[in-house]
Amino acid sequence: MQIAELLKEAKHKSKAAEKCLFDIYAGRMMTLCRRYVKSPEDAEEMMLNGFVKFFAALQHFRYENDAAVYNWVKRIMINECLMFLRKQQAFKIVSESEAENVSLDEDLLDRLSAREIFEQVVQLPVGYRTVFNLFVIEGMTHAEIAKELGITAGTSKSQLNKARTLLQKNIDKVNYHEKQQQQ
Amino acid sequence: MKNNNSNNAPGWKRRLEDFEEDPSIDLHASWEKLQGKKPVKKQQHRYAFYWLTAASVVLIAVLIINPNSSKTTGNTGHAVTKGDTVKAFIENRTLIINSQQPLAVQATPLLKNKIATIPQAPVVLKNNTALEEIPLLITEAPSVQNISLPDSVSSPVIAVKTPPKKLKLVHINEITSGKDTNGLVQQEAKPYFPITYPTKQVYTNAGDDNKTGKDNLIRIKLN
Repeated sequence: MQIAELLKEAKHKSKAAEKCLFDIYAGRMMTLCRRYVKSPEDAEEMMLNGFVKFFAALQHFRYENDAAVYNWVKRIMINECLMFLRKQQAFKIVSESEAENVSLDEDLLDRLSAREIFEQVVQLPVGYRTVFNLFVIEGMTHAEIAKELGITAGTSKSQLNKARTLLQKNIDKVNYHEKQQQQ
Repeated sequence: MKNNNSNNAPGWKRRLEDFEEDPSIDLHASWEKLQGKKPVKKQQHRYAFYWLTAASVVLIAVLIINPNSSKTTGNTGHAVTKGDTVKAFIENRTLIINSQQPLAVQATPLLKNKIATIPQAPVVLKNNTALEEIPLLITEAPSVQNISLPDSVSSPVIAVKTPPKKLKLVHINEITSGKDTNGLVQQEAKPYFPITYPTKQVYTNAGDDNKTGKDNLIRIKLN
């Protein structure tokens, strides 16, 4: 059954359609929430809260295409995660001077699997991880990130550079250990 | 300052966005948790509670307004209320019994034609002549007698004494015109059918009819 038909049925409070939509999006949304909140239990809580809001707001949603539905669901989940992190006061970041811009070596991506990259991102500190996710994955600007998190644009840039530095370091370590194991 | 937007690392986005972690949690259990989080059911329960409350209030109001609906009825179907007197109840039962078994039980009241004397002191006229006590014919109202019903009738036996009637002190002139005192005697006689051959008239007594001024005889001429 296509997503458009499922959405139409779900608007009429069809439990079966809601279950189908849940099965389609739950896995990826769970992974997304884990990238933001790290803990599996907290990530599940955020995912369920997001789905409650998704089904409640379904009446007012107008279907355009499958990508639009995915982006809308993703936006709901990210907002839930950011609200959770704000409550934990995870963004009390002191304004810093901008660090040296660090670039990420994309060659590293070829050496690592998606799971390893994911695990490296999840291990970052909450501030670094949040800014990295919003900037690199979601494609937001520093101004938008600053408005979202209640920080300055400069702080957002600083957090991003630090995230990249730390990622680079951690991936180099992983590669070093793999090379040693191969030898 | 380099534009950091140029270093968006599209490779990172591509690798991480499409990655779906093997779920460390049971999605079926998550679905069950999701059903518990939904707020719609609470509203439905709330609406059901409001409807039940309104229905119970209406029911209580109906019961309070119509208390007569809970009264019991007798086996004859007649609703007995507290206001009914015993006498009225007995009269009703008598009528019902009469209607049910008109042949089995002759519950017709017996007319007791008594000659009662006025117990009070004689009336004294102006010329101080006392009226002689005249026997006064009083037709008592039918009283309920002990009706013994046959066994086939399942109604219970009712025996009630009627209270004695108060006799009213009246002058004889108020009762009759004073002319025909013998009529009083005749009235108590049994049906009287003298047949006189010459006149060929039939007499009978058919009740009081003083309106026309004639006596209460029906004369039938036979030729």
